[in-house]
Amino acid sequence: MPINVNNLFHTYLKKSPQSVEALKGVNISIDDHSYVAFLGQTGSGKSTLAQHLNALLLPDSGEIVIDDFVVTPKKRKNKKIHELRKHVGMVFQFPEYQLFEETVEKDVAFGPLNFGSSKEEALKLAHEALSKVGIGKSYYQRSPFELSGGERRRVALAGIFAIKPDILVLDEPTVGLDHQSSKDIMDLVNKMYLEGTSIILITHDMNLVNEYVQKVFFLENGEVKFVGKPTELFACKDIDIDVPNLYRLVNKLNENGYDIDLNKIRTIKDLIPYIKEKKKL
Amino acid sequence: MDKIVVKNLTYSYTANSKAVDDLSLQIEQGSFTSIIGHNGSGKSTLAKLIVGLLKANNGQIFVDDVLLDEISVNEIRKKIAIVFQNPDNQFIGSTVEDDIAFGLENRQIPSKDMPDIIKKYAEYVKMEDYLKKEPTFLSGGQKQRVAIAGALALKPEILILDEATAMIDAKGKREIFLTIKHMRKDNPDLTIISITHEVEEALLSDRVIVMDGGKAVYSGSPMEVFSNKEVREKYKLQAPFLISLKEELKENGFDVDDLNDIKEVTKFLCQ
Amino acid sequence: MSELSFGRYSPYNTVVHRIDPRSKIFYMILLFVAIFLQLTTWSTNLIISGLILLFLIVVMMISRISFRSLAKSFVSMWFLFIFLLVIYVLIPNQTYVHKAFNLGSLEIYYDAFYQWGYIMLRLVMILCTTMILTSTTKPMDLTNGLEWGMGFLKPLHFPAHEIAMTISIALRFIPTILDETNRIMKAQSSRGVDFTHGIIKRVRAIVSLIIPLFVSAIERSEELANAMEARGYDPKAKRTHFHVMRFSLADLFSLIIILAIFGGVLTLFIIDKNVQTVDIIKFLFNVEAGF
Repeated sequence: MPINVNNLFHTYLKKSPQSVEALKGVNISIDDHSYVAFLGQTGSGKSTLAQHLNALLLPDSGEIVIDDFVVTPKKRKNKKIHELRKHVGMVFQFPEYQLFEETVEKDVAFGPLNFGSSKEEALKLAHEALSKVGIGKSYYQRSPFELSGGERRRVALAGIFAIKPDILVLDEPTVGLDHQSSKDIMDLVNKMYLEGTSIILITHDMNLVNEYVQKVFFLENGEVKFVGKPTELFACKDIDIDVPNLYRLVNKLNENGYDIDLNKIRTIKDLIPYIKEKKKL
Repeated sequence: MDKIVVKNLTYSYTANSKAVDDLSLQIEQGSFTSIIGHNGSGKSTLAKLIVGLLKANNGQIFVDDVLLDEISVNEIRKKIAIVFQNPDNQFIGSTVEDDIAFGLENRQIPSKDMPDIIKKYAEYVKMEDYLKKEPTFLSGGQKQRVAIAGALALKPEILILDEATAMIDAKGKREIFLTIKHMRKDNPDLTIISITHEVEEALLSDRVIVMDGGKAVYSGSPMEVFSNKEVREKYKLQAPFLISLKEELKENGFDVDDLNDIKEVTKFLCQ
Repeated sequence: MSELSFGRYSPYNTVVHRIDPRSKIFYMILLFVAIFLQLTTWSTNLIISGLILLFLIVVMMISRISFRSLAKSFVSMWFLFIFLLVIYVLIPNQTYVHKAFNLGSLEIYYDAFYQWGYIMLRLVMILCTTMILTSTTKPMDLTNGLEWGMGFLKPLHFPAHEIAMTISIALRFIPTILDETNRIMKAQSSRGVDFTHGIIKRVRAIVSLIIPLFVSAIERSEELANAMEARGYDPKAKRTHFHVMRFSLADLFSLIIILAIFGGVLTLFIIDKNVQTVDIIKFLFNVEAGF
């Protein structure tokens, strides 16, 4: 499903001394089946933007068009919100805090049930999603609260996967996890992508961006400041991000006589031919 | 001199699993030690045991050669400050200045001395412009810096960072690293223990202790630990960029063994 | 960020903000007493209440409190208003004398409307007074003021400090927990929960909100207790205070004003009860106020 955001404005705490203009005229378009990222500092508006995509927030002005769904400022006009939310899945930061059912199985089936699946269907979807995230049968009847942090997060993810959204928005899915658990989760997300889901990743981790993302939207003070490939972003001098070490090195090397095409570099291995060539000379 | 000595420490939350299992280690005064290991390896439990928030089932902890027990815990706690993971749940005051003041009030610092102390440490973590702000209007990184200010204001001899950067963004992390560097320079006697799973952060320390299943399974300089492929694979540790780069170069026949940081590698590559 | 605003501290720096919290708590008590002293003649009661209300409105304007949020809180209490009206009008009362009309077999009295209006007026004043206190006083100062105020009970082993600390922490965490509520609501909405339609659906929705909130609140309180203990907090030990409360010129002036109001009302009340009925209308215009 392609996404178009047109001239989106949003202000929190309107007419109060603490009011915050979170989005100031955002225009973006995201193609069908793509893997993109919303980047920016804390408070740049990236989460606010994401929450408009399934109408958790309504715009002050502007609109969001997703396939034949339109999210507009007027509450009454947004009749198909429920249906839209089935298509746009949203994984919040620390999603393990949304678990509440007595058993893992029931919790994952909760979403499909809400979206109109029958009990049997919902359980089937839950089992599918759980096996996708690597949670085995022996866990189905256990309480989600007795699992480890990494497991709880995977169950929470399964709760969204089970809804089978076409677009998956993930807000910092790996924050607080160790290296291995983070990797597991990102592999899962990538699997969803390969199976046809569009992915929108909100993150501060540029290594993830480098590894998975095709296109980035960099937000600053509620405006989109940069749109392009991750490597183009890493080469940008006037954008305040944590460039991954690899690109910092490539930038340094290029300043000192190398001629490396950033776009061709994904891992350290890709660097070796350039070094070999240079060193032979 | 050993600031902290831990001997055969054991602690379990539930009857059938040990969070800390017969653990022994020493931490030298003025050192910066990183304790790494995956989620659930017992790192944070160890921190809580050292501060006396949990009581060990077995074993001893000595701080400055004093055994930690019910009587000495208050004196020992005065030497130790700890910064926890969740920025919200350790922000006690209703504003930045109130929060830094909280510890001072507990230590019965006279009211008239507080404003200066608060200002000094707020400046130290670059939060002096936010003194009157409430936590809702601060980012995670800013709240953690306030927590560090609150900890430092108590003039601790030991500072424990219990995954203090795990929940904050890259910029916040960077600012915290800078603050740590700063602290070490200003106060070489300060013993820092950082519990973390950020390998790049662990690279800054003098010594790395790897924990797994409640035991200290490996320790050494960051380079020693992270260069050891076997250890890395066994305990699922990520390789820092510098080490991955060096390994890749070495595999391709370059002699990079003596290069200690990214600058030296860059220089070598550009020669 | 939550949209909840009634009575929340607003960080301006007006004269009212600068008054010592202890004074403000004291004033609130005096005003409450003044508001609840009831004289014999209804017209006098209304005049006195009107004057106090006028005073409160002026104070609210000085302290830059938004009347909008006050109005909003009234709108949300419409049910209470109607309920009280029904109670007053329909339940017979022997003391009512001014009959208005018959509603079927029920006799409706003007007195009932007057009683209702008077109660409403006093409710408005109580709300305004409370709002002035909480909007102009930092939660921390408020609790320090309370702790000081309850200080005389300490020798009786009354846990004044513990209560004050509990209140201040509760106040500190209200915004955090509201943010969290908001986040969990959004997360569950994304899983298809409908928080707005149908009673059964809504009950189910609330369960999916309450349980996660409880789980995280328990975790939070545990971590908070650890953080406090690690920073040397001991409820039984002596502590110093960062905020030193000092009486200032603003306190003196405000004290004079409040004492004048309180004293005035109290004097009228005493005269009314012990000497003769006070009737301001009759006193000023020499006419009998009637229906």
